[in-house]
Amino acid sequence: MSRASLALLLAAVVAAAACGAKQPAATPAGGSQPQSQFPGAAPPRATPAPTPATAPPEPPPVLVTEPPVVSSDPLAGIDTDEINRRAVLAPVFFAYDSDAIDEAGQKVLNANADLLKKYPTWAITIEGHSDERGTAEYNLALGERRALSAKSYLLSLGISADRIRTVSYGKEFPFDPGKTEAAYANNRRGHFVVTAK
Amino acid sequence: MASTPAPSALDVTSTPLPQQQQQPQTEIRTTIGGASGRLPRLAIPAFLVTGTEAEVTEAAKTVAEVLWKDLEFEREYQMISQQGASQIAPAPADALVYESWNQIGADDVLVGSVQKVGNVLQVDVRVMSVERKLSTFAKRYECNTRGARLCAHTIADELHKERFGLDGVARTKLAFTSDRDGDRLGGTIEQRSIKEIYISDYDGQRANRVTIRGSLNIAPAWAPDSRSIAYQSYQTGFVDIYIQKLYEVQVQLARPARGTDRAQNFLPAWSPDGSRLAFASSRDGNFEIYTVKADGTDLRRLTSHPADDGAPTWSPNGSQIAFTSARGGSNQIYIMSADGGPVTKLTSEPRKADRPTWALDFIAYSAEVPGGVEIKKINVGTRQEVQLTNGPGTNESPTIAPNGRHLAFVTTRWGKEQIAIMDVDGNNVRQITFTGNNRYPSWSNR
Repeated sequence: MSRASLALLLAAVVAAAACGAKQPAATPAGGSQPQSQFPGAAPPRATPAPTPATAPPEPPPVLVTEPPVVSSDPLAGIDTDEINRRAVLAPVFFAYDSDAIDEAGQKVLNANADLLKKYPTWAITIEGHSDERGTAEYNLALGERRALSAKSYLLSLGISADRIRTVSYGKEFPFDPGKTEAAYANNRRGHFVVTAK
Repeated sequence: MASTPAPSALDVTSTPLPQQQQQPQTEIRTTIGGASGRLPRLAIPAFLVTGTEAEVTEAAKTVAEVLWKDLEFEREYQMISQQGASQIAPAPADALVYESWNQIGADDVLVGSVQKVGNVLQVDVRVMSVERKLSTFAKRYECNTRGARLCAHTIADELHKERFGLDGVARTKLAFTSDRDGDRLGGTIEQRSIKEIYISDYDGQRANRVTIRGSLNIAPAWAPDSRSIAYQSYQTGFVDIYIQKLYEVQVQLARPARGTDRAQNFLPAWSPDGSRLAFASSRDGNFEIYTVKADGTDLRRLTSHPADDGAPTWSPNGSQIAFTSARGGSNQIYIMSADGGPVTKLTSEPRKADRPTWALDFIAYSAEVPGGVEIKKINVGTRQEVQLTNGPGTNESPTIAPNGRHLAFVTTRWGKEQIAIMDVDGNNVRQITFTGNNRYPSWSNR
């Protein structure tokens, strides 16, 4: 475990150095950053995936010669609450009674994985949610499957299992209390919460 | 943590009163009932009060009203409306004008008289037979002056037992999840209501919050001894099962399923002898059924299937477990031995079946139907099905009263999620929660 945290720490230092070195490339400016606000009822399909961009190139293993100037990374100076408020990690949406990650969902998760690679100290919880249809008990299982499904996808992209927790809320915490198809769609999600950075 | 000083049965004591015109009990029992083929008709005139103390007058009124409702609930009597009974002036048992009661069709008249002796509310109850002009039930109850409801529930249970050999449920309780206090969870994502576990009388009155976890707490299950509740809590950020003892101070709650963020545990159900809990867990990849001793030892995995298995419930004798499984393609109810092994499919719902709860020879469950969810019951032997609700709104999460005569369930027919009780044939639906959203009812044994 200590070796892992050391590795994470080193990775963080490297990442920070990389950011300091190449300010504009990696992080989309505030304006272009997808900022799905919650409890905004943004229809799921409309949620733009963060520009996948090319992953920052591996920084050369050299010491930074000058001290990094104040980072202009907009996520560096804010706390996890603010990160979550801005939904920096976008939610992945699901079809009715399904835990399958569709194409749109894959895009979202790819982008989230990129961010998690960029910020390797972040730990997250993926919450599984359902719409209000169906029974409470069944939806607990469905929410669990959705959260685990999103987690598996991230693992397949190389994100460490140590960084991902899951929890199923079933239909207990709808994001939109409405009874429209749009509200239901908005509530069927794997919701990302950054719990540590 | 939260130790609610709950009322115990000791809050009410009862002693027999001398019978009016002594008659042997056995003879009386053989003559209960009105004319053949119908329920005896019972009237409850206003209770007689000694003294003028407002508190006593109020308590006497409450006892009479609650008793009327409790007796109506079991339908062993056909209750004469209180308005009907009020046409005849209340009188002591030895001065009843039987002719008047006979004219409004009463077979029995329950005469109550109340006085305060010290700090005790003394309630004398006599059930007088109009035809025979004698008392068939006569007891003195000593109650807490603020315990009028419990006093009435005790009288109802004892009268049902003595008169009809029936185990009434007037003193049983419901546990459920509610956001009625309106507290919000911390955090910034969006507004989420704290949901805590509450217990109330079977009629929804005298509700007390029993958890102070400041979190999401759902799916309470009464232990068979009615002194503990197991429930599912999110207080650590993941889901685990906690056991809360109601009448003891606990520093730390037991967590028999020993949950972690990699072994999360859902929907606890006590074995009838209270020794084990069945629950669903995703610890081995997807929802499976497990049981564990209440002390956290002897964990057993009962199912092993790539489709989800959930919502376990025990058979009344503890030898079997019914649960839901998607192994056949859609969620249906299956039965297996309490040790696992082969499963038998019980339901064939066109959509899904969920949340079985087992009493006597039948299982009540939630069935998905076009446009919602309805409560059904199925006879375990004959497989005969009966749909008990038919809208409006969704109706789900049934729990069965210990005498098998009633169900509590969650309904949205009044807007928010509320708990209602009804007879096991689907009749006489009564709303019993009115504040906030209320879900996951569990009916206590006593």
